[in-house]
Amino acid sequence: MENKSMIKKITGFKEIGVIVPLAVLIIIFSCTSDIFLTTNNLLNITRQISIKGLLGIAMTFVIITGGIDLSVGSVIAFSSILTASAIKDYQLPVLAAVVIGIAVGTLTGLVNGILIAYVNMPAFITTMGTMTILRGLGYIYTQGYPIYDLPQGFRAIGQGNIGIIPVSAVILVVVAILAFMILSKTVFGRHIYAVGGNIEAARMAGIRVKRVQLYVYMISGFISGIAAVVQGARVGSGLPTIGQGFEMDAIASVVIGGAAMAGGSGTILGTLLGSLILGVLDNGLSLLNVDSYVMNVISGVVVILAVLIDQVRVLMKQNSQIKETKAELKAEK
Amino acid sequence: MEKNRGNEILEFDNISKTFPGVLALDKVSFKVRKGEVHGLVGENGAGKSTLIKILCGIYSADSGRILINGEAAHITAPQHSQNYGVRVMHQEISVLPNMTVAENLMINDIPKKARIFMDSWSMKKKAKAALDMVGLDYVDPDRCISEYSLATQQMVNLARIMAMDPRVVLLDEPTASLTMNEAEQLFKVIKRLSGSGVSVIYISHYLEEVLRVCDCVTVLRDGKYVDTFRSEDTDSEKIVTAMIGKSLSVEQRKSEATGEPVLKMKNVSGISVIRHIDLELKEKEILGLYGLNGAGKTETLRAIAGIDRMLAGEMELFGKKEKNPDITGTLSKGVIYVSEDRRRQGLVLGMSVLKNASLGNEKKYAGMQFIREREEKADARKYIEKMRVKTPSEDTLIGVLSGGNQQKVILGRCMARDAGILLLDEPTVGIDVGAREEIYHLISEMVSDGASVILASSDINEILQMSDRIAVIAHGTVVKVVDRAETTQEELMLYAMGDVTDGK
Repeated sequence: MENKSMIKKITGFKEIGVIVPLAVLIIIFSCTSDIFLTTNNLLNITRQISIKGLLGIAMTFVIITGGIDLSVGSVIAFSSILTASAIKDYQLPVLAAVVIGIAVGTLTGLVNGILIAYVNMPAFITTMGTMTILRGLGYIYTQGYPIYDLPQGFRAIGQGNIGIIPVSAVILVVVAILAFMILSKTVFGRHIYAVGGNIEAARMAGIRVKRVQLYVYMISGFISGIAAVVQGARVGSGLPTIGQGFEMDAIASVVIGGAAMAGGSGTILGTLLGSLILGVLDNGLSLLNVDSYVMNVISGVVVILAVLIDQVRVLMKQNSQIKETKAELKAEK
Repeated sequence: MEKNRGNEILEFDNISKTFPGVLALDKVSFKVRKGEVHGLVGENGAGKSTLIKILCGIYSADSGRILINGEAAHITAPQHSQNYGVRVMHQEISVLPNMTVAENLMINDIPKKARIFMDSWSMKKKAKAALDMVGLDYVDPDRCISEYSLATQQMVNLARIMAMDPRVVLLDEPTASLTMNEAEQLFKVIKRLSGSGVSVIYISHYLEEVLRVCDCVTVLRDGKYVDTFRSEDTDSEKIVTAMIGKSLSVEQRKSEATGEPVLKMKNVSGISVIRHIDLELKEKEILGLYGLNGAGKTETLRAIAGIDRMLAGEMELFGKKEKNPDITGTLSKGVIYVSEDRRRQGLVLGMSVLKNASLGNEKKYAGMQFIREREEKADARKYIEKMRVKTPSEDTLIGVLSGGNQQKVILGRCMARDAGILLLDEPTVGIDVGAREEIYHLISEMVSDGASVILASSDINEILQMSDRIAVIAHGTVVKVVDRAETTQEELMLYAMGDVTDGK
């Protein structure tokens, strides 16, 4: 009996599929590298994952509704370019430049959202389009040259510390807490899950489905805009090449975190753990001087393994439920 | 029946079939002769589809035999019945929409050249021959099938069946998605089929149609064979009487209706099916909306709820004109539609009982945006108790509950929203008898609390048990409105089966 309830407890905890591989990775790297467990390195990891973590949070909103946003990586480039240019070329104050960067992201989300929710275009195609457009606009605006030499006040967002904690990590945590509150405590959050879980039932229950979809893409753009500012500050320049493929890492961290691409499920905690896995892996393998080509292969394997573990968890849960029901039926007889 | 012996191509001999708790078929025996068009009618649940599924090898009978050409047939899988020359055309039209007519016709057996290449020329020739067989000489086998009308697609399906040289063809509600003219085309083909010696079993709810097309009609009731009538010797009324058997006296609910109308529809037409609907619902009344599947019940309710657009006509809710009702607007006025398809349109299966109970109504527990969880939980518990929902807790996933309990959660949601007008679409479909009574009880309770209800159902007993007045809908329009006390099963069924129009 005890054994059974253990299985139930373990399989009932959604984040287990992420925590186990994360723990395994941390143990492996602690044993193989002296540097891994140092405070400095751990802070370094939080700095490294802050941008992709933010994008993961952005993507979580969209994926819960059953959508996808491929444009987040390009927003990183284009928004950070405009932010850098506002400071460098137009001598605007840092705060105004930051607002511009975030506004550009939000605007991208608005366009995505209108096309997807109100014109009924497929999310994949729409955001692939805006992804390519923004990437192109970034090159046009900069002519391919980086905008660098940004002031210390701006760079502090990506490079500075509060005490010993990196500013970028603080931003990530604040955004994560807000996102968590929205998703799990508010009416709007509930509606996001309902739209992804069963869009027809949500519509019939009077939820303004299209509006929910629009807002979700705007939130995704907004958070990507924040991530773009952090990215620009971290490298101290606006680069048209930056952020390529980041959308894939974001999707990976959401999926590792236990969300289904079909929608209806996913949590901020899961996504953060997901990006932590990818970050720890990246950091640990670098410390071990693993060849970067090999690192790619290992990252891919980890993504698949994490999702596989989650599938096994779901299967075990179903099996134990079936067994229980069977036992109940027997008892009835 | 006893005449023309020896000409039988198909015989059901004492077929019985039990499902857990139900005797679906009880020693059914009858015969189908060569070249005959044989109608098969009965209420929902009479055993038609079970019998058909046994013939097709989807179910196997508990006892009894099927004789084909006088010999006992061994049918335990769909291929077996096909080998005996039995072919079915199902209700839903299934074609491969992006392929040509010829490809659709030959998909199971595409002619090949040199083993791997498609032989287009011979495919076209074979397709043409198959089309000619059903009189579709105007169809070009090289054109995409979706360029043709539904009726033609249906007929192409029939041609495909014909190309397989069947002995018995089963048509299950073949006119369900066809217009009158299209149905006429189909009838011609059926005549031609029977002329060429193929037997047709024709299943339909529309008696008029059945009597026109079929040579004889077999009636099933409650899993039993009742009788076989020759079409020229009978009429709809006799058949309906046979379908119902002895009229059960259904106990009637006590009416609480006031005279005040809360909903008026005048001449309302919608995008699909419904045409010129006139309907009035009074305060605290249960108005039964009775009709066959596909008659337009769901569409009527959806039009009232503002889910489907109204194309013409007028609607008044609580004395106020509604020009273009939309779902959020009507919901805020207390008009709630409960779909017959709970799992797809009513519930988010991956969510808990609690979250489903307050779905779309979370604002009730929230000041601005933040949900007061304790309050929500207390309310959910209250309704779970009131509705007698059997669930381990309010946090259980709704998907694991039984259909009856799921429906109770949905009704609880309506109650929490203070439903003024409840639009219930087949509220007890797929729900067992015990839970059904509980749901009736809950509906009555909601009426006592002030709700007015339109109860759409194809279950005549449910309609008679619950309604104060009954509107019968057929072919998308309301053909008759009667007081519950002044009507009978027979009358309602005759109207629903499209045989009688008002004033006749």
